[in-house]
Amino acid sequence: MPISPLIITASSMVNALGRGKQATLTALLQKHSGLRFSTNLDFSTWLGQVEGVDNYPLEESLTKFNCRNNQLAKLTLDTDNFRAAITQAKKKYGADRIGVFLGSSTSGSEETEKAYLKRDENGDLPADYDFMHTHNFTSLLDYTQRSLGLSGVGLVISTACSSSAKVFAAAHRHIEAGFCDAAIVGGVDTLTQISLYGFNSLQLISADPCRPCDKNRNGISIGEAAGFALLEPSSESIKGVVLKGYGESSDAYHMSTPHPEGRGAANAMQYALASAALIATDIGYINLHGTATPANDAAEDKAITTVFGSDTPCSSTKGWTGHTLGAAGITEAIICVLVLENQFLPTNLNLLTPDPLLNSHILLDNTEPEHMIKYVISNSFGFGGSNCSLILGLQE
Amino acid sequence: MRPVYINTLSIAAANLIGLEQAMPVFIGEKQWQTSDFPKLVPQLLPANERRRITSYIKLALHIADEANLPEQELLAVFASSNGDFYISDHICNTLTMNPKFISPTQFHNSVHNAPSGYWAIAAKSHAASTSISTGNSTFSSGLLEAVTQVLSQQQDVLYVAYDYPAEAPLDKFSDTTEPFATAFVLSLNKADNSYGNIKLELSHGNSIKSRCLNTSLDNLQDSNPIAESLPLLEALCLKNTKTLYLPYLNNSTLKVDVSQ
Repeated sequence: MPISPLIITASSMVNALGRGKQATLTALLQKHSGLRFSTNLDFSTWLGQVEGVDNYPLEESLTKFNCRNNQLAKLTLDTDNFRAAITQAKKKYGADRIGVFLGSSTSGSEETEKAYLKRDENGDLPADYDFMHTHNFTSLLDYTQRSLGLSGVGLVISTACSSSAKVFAAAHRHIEAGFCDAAIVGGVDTLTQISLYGFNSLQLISADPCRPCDKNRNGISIGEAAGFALLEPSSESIKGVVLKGYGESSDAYHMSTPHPEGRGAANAMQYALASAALIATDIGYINLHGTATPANDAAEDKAITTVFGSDTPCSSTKGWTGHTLGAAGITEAIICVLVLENQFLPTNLNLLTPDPLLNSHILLDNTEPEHMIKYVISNSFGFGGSNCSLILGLQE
Repeated sequence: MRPVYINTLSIAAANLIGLEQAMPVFIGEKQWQTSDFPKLVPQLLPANERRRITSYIKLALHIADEANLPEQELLAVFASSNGDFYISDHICNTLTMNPKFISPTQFHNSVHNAPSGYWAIAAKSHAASTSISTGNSTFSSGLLEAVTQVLSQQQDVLYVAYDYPAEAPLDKFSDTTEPFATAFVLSLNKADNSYGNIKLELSHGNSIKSRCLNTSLDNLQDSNPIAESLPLLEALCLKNTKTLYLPYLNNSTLKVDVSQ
């Protein structure tokens, strides 16, 4: 059923392209990738790493939350004037009426990796290791609420690579049910040995910079990223970008392989259109999940042609940022905000040879749209068959 | 808010496997004490798949299966504070020896939504499913998420909550000492055999959490984040009308009005 839109009144992002939305926008427009060859792993890969995280300190009163994931969260909260917007929102709604809904697949699990390397002769972990304030998913929520001085409802959603898309849906439902008046959504994911060697064990990592939708695509490049957005109730008189719809589904097919026909993905997009009260031809751009694995891009292409046909322009921006896993949803949602605000369509960076087996309208260069783009859809799909599509729109 | 009915209910803990074992304790005829937790064999997975999953995932699948109404694709919320300690331990251990030997199965089982993914496959459910954590307030947060889904989607929702203790060396860094799981189906419609309905409200400035009438359950309630559900489960099983306070974020509480 149709939902009432929420307006995005502030947002911030940090990823391999740099700090802040302008850094991402500039890199998108200039086609500069943030992926760099990694020299410290046992296998060849390119990573989307964020500079300057390890020496970015948390607040003195919150050092028990110290881990790279929360440091990246703080860096991002400190970017794009996001804190100032939250200060204003607290005056408007009250600190206990702003919900916080965050996605992550890694949280601070890197601290557990480090603690295992420091076990003593009895196999015990170092005494200063703190599972609850770092690795446990609540660490990210607890840190963010304290850092922003908020005391309302909150959640961490961890559904692998759809995590920080699904937070938009949860935030909308909590506002709709009256448990909060406004919401911060976001996602924070950092590079860990678990995800790097884990994806490597599944033979899903490319030795080259990832090439979404290319005929010779051969796997993902992993990135790290964070993003936050403030969602407020919207009225038609307010101009800006709104969350117009969301759709969620399960593949019920396989733990680490998408349904070959993209059935769950198509369901998620159709539910999103229904909740936005839009039809397929209203959508002017699709930001693909587009991981650059052979299976993902083929299944997503089938889902897109089922729902949209072959005319709607599509691209994956993972050639710029890498696959930022639990932060992919929020990163690509904010990229969609940039697309709507600047009316340009990003290409599939690194795509050299179009795949003749893909039938959707895959963009081959940065493009100015022929007509004004009013609505875009962003796809995020994860292990366990967890799918989420978001529709964002321009409210004039 | 509109009242939300709890139409099916299941529980699993040491000496509390299913309502047959739980009811005498809730009624107060029996005192709870710990024992070894049995090995669960969730029937909804084929034997070859069961071999690939851990005790943590088995607990989640067992409890979901016990609560699920048959032949219905339900929206689902899966809630666990800690995730799978066994897999965290194994993968981190492998990383210290030879990172290239990480098992691909263990890696895809390491995602927080692994139980939800297995459940969707086994139950052939294509409906949306969410997996959440908020540490010690995980049960309350998951309940809130499930209730918002019932209210906004106007559909029945399966709520599954579970946590399983760690073994050495992680056990020293977690308060979770007993396995515990519960699951129920929430609905806007009252079923004939409903356990009653709930209304939720955030309560600030009151950090006193409710306890069970049977005080022998206090130790169990403190042994696992999901066992914070016990006062609610007891009230529902006894068909009580009462107000309960469950731990929530920032030392606030979730006020739960239970009625029939």
